[in-house]
Amino acid sequence: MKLTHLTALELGRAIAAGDVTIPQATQAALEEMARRDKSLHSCITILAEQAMERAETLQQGLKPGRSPLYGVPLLLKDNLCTQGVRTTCGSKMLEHYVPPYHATVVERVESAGGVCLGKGNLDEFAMGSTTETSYFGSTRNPWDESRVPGGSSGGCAAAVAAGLVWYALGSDTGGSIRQPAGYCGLTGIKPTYGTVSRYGLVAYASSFDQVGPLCRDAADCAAVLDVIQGRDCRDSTTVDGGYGGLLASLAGDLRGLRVGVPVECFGEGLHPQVANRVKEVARVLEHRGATVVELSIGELNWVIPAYYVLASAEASSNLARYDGVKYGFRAKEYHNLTQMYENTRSQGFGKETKARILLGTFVLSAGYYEAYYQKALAVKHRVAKAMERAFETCDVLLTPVTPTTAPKLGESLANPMEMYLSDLYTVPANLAGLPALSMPCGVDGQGLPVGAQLVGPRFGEGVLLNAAYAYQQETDYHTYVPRGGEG
Amino acid sequence: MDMTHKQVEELAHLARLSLTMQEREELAGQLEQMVAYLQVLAQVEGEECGTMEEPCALRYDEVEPSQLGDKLLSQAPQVADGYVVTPRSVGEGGMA
Amino acid sequence: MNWEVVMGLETHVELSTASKIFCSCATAFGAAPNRQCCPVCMGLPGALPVLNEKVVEYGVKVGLALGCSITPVSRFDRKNYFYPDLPKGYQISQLYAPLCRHGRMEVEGVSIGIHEIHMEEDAGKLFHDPASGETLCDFNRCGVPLLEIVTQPDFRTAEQVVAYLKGLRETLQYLGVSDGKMEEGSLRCDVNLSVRPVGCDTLGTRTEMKNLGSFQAITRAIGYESQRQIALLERGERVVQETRRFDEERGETVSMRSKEEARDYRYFPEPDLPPVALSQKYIQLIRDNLPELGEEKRQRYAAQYHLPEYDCQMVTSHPALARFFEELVGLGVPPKQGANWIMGEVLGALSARGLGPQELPISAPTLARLIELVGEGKLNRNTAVKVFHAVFDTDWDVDAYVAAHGLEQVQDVALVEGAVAQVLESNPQSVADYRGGKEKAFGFLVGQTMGKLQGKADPQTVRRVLLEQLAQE
Repeated sequence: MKLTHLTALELGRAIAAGDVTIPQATQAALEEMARRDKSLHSCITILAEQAMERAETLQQGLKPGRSPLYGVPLLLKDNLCTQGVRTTCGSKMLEHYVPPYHATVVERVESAGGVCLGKGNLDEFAMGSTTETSYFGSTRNPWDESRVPGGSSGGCAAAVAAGLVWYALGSDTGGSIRQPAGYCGLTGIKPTYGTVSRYGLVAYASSFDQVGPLCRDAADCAAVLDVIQGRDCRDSTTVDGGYGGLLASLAGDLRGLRVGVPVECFGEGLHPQVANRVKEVARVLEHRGATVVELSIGELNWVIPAYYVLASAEASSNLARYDGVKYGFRAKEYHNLTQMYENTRSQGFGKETKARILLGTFVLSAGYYEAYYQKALAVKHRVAKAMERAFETCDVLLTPVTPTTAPKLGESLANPMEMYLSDLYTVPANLAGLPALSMPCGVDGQGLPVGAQLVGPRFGEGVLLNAAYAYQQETDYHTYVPRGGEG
Repeated sequence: MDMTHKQVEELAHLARLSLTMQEREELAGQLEQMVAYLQVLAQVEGEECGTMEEPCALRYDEVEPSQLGDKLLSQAPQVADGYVVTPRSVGEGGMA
Repeated sequence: MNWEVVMGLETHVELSTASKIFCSCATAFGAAPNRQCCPVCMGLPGALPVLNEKVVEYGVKVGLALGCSITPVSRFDRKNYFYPDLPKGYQISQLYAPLCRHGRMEVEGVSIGIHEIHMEEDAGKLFHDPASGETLCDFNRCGVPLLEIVTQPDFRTAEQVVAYLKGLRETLQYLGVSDGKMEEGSLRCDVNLSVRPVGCDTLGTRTEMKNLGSFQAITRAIGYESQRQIALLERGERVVQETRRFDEERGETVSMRSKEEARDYRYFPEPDLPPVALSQKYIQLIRDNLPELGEEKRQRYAAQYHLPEYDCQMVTSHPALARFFEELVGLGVPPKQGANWIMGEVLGALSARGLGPQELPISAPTLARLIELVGEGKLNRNTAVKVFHAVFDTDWDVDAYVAAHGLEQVQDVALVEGAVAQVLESNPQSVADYRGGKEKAFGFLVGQTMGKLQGKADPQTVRRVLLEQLAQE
């Protein structure tokens, strides 16, 4: 088995056992990157020297009792602040911006012995579903380089799938971890809102943004969550919870697990091959002792409009700080302050970003606030309540991740509305603040990965990971690697 | 609803964006489509509902100077004597 | 046509917490530019606000002192606009659910309604350089905690406005939440003013006046603006709703920007801060521990110590003075005497040194002892005043000082009699003048006697002995 196709935990064990050194693993990954990333373009910044130095240091500090991910190289989505290392958010606006501090999750991952190999490409300011809006160019799906890897954490997904790193930290606001995980055959999880610190995550939509792992399997995701979850006094939206122990509690026992299948998620627009693969997941879970129930969550029909109103509103405000005054890009020519603002922001932002800012400005503007923003808030509360009710009759929900497998490059941007609508399965979990996991459940007729989603109640990460773990004991889709990655 | 060019201009000004003719066309179209789609929200009985959020976590009133000093200013496009420099505003007041 | 001026006030108070409202940077003055900042108050990407509990406590204190009801669950909202002194491109404030509501303050017999009080963050400081056409930004003040106090349009005269501000300032000082100094910017007042015919119920179009830096400026601005509006309306023209600033030199208000292009702040709930939920227990605890405020003290001093109103006003003009006064009384000083010393020597000495009452170097025990010595006849008042000035800055032990300088008053009457006799002998002309009806001569003789006794005699005794001896011959 090729080194770079091991799971993160497998590599961690190999490092602990002395079968491979951290510098060896890091070197292997960097070589893969050099070989493949010219065409995949998953990274905006590659930290070759720093990573090797860190690998050496960590190797010297290797001793029993270290974290299970000690010495394992990873990628960080380029909207996570890394001190001294440029953090661009995929935008010209921050092309040369170097944060003076680490995001909390970065601190935690480093404390656990992570080796950061670089910063992953993303849709500009995490707004998008294909990674095509990045100022630095698109990333390609390692399964088929004429297709997108998904977005906005597309760079991270492509890198893990191609075996350039063993895991990655992405962010998910409307599906940006789960959807690329789905398109690239990975396992990814968006945690319960408030369980992972957003301090140092460049904000897109503050009420929905969460950092989470993109990995090869559920056990890796559990190990990463154990590292990054926890209350942070620097983020007022983080909450107290019984954190840790997710990896240790993976047992794969699904007896008594009630799996809910919402009819609204298996209706029009869902590609039949995707539908079939996801339904098979239900069969596998049943085989392991779960029961499957059908249910209806009517409120799901409002989630997309509500999400886009709230997310764009918050985005329009969160992106107001990019004004050319104290950091980032400033236009070269202007005659007064207003021109400086306008030129800076017009030149610094890409089209999709501008579109969302305008939409957000619109729904907050005088005369429209009640009609859009307040209504959207009401929907948010109702969806949360509806999901709570749903979890009275089941323990997890099973849905597709996306209506289709990965589209071709250029296809989605031609039709933004369709692109927004394809978020319909992932957005409910963001709106309700619930944990949701995406795992590979097969390939379609063209060999492209299909993802299945499990959604849980608040703080239900353990249930999700356990179900995925059991599923991955019965199947081997998560072990598939894209061609070109074979050693 | 029809998103007129004037409306898009006003929104652009609020957001400090200056759009080219082409951008205005495209974005007006996209905005119009989106807003039409959002009309479904009108069916929702919107009331301000109580949230289930946890109450605010508070911080003690203690000074902890950030050690960042020069680093904070090092990212500024234009600095003079420790101040960040911008062009003069034209008749725009500050806090209302 | 008789016109009525109608005004409402929006006052921003800088709270005297150690750290800023949403981060741990210091709020102290005087730091070099941009040296008291961090990622949060500079609005760096990824930074998040965390609320300072003292700001809430101070807000509740002020709300309770002004008779407000405290909102059990209040929220923050974002006020969005672009300006270089606002790094995030929005100000975190409270619109939809402010901390305090529906209060009241009595001022000159008028009841002023407090509409609401809310918490918000201050912006940075900008320095405009006309020569270069550039603006220099200092973000040290970004994030300093502010309370905004908004009244109902219940004011009718400038006197009421000034009285309200003075009363507000006193309350803030007694609560210990702010210096409340307009000159230093810790108290900033905007006046909303409109006019209407007497007897009319509806409000006229109002203008907002900003940058009013002193009570005098406020009074002048109100005078000018009300006349300006009346003149406009009498000519049949309309008042434009706008913001105006006061030009001190010309004594006029000048338009700052037209509200025709009224700003759309697009307020929405701040997603980075959960609601501020306050229990009844918490609010009650603060209420129970509210200090006695100026007006309460004045009433108590009048009732308990029978101090005249003027004395009460002077002694409570600053909480530090009131504290000092109460300490003196606690040490046995008769209240009237304590008040006299404070109004006279203490305030005088502070003023001469340009110090505020909170910087008073002499302690109450020291002054109390001094007063005691006078009471015991060991020092005459003149000497006591000299000693006061000598120990004011250092707070030296009074007894030690008196002993060291041999200042004790001459108690021995025989010595006085001897000195008087000598003076009368050496000044026959003055004696003759006095006998001839010149009262002034008497004063001269007193002075001469005091001089002979090195000022250490009780003037009353000297007068008595002089009169006796003069009567004898």
